[in-house]
Amino acid sequence: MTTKDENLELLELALGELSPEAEAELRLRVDASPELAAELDALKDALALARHLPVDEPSRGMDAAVMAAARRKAAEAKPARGDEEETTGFWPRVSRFLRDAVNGPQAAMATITLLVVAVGLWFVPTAHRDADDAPMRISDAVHPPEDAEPVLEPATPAVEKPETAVGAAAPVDLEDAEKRAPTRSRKESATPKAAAEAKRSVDVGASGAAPAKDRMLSTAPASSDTMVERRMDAEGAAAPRTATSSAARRDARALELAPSAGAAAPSGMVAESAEMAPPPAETTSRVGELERAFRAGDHTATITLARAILSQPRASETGSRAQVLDYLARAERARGNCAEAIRQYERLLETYPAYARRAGVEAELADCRARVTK
Amino acid sequence: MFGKLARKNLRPGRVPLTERPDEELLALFSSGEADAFGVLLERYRRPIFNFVARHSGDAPRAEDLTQEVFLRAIQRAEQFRGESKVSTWLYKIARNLCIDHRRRMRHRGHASLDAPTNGDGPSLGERLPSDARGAHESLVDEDLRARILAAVEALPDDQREVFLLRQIENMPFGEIADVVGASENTVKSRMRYALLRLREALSEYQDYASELR
Repeated sequence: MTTKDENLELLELALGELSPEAEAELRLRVDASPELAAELDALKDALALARHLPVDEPSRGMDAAVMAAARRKAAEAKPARGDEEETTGFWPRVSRFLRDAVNGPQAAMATITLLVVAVGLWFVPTAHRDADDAPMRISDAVHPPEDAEPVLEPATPAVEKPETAVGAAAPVDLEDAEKRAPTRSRKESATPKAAAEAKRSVDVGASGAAPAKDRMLSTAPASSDTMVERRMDAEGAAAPRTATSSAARRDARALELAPSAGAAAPSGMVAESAEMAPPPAETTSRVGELERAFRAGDHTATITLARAILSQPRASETGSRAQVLDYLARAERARGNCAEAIRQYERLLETYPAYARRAGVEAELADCRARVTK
Repeated sequence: MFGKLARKNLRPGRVPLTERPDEELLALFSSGEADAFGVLLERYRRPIFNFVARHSGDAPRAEDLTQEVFLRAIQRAEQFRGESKVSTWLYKIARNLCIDHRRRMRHRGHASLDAPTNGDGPSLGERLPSDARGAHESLVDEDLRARILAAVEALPDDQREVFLLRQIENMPFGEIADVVGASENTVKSRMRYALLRLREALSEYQDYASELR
């Protein structure tokens, strides 16, 4: 019978880790004991077979994201290293100034400033023009001025795409907008089509708003995607709860386009709770299909599949939307379409701040931005 | 502390980065030399990837997890005190990630992605691209590889991690003990059990193994 120490010595012998003296001494014992010899053979057999363990190679795509993060981190540490460098003499100072100007924060600040000015110049006239289409402010809707006329806006996008509606509900001053283009809104509201759309919108808003919110709060096993989107539904439609009388319908119509702070759950909390919720089997299989396409390097199929899943009506969507967005962004990145990849990565981080692979997403996003800048 | 050491003694340019030890590279990186981390990445990307692929039980996501290992290393580089080797430190990060990942998978009720996807077909792990797999592999080799993967996957977690660290990184038992937080003798014992289990699972290859010895 072998002892525990003997077993460990046999392992070391099989691995060739014993000292020559210990090995010679153990070999004498092994020769004298069939049991020890059998154990040694078994270990050697297993080690011989274990050498066939496959060795795989990761793709180079992984390295780019890691190195982008490494460069960012190293750039943070660089100023500290500068303390040790020579600071005396004219040329070292000039050299350091030039190097810092090119690589340091000055260049970045100058670029950002130029970008802000450029975007500002481009955006200001557009903002004025867009004010014509802006929805009414919440405060105006709840307490309308006595002389205010009913202003109805086309509501279809808000009903069909709550996410868009939330995004579009920037608080633009209605009075200001009316001063600029008062006739257009009134004219539109007078047409039968606009009136019909407005009525449809009010009906949906008034009847569907409160249940949408309640559903969101009571559906525990829903995924993050569903929950966030339901939150968006609730944001878009919760306000018309107040629209119970015909006099309030007009206000409700306008409020439909504006986000209601009361209905919104903290996005971090929503995403966190969703991380814990297991996605239903149907979604798992579709996401699995998407994942296989991505792993197989079929980025076109990945993008097509991802977009198909994302285009599903929200009511039937059951989860893993964050993962789908992730694969979509990565496939776009792999195809070299950095602009689209950036858009999807940003959308992912914004919608699902607690996404499990957040660090990886941020690194890949930084890599894409660096590539676009180049 | 480590950063100061690097600034005083480890100025880049004297010895090529690729010839420097891991600890110097990490110190250089902490002092702002991004390329030093590139060398570390090049050294460990493949073994860490393989360790993660086999230990996490989720080969298709091994690349994401490996990326996460290096991203965490980047974030924590300044906290590295040089009390252990860089390789040990990296494998500790990788091991913790794998344990978390396996736990999450169990919690969500996912089947192991190393399991065959449909009936007797190859697992996702086996379908990963690999330079190591030549085009002229014998059928025995292919079958054996698949069986070894399955046998390794079937090992208990504590035996599997020891086996992988030894087999992939050829890590000394003392360092493995540091990574897994157990005594050296315990680690050796786990290795022994792992080998005996593997041999039992692959008993039909006994003759072949004897030839290989």
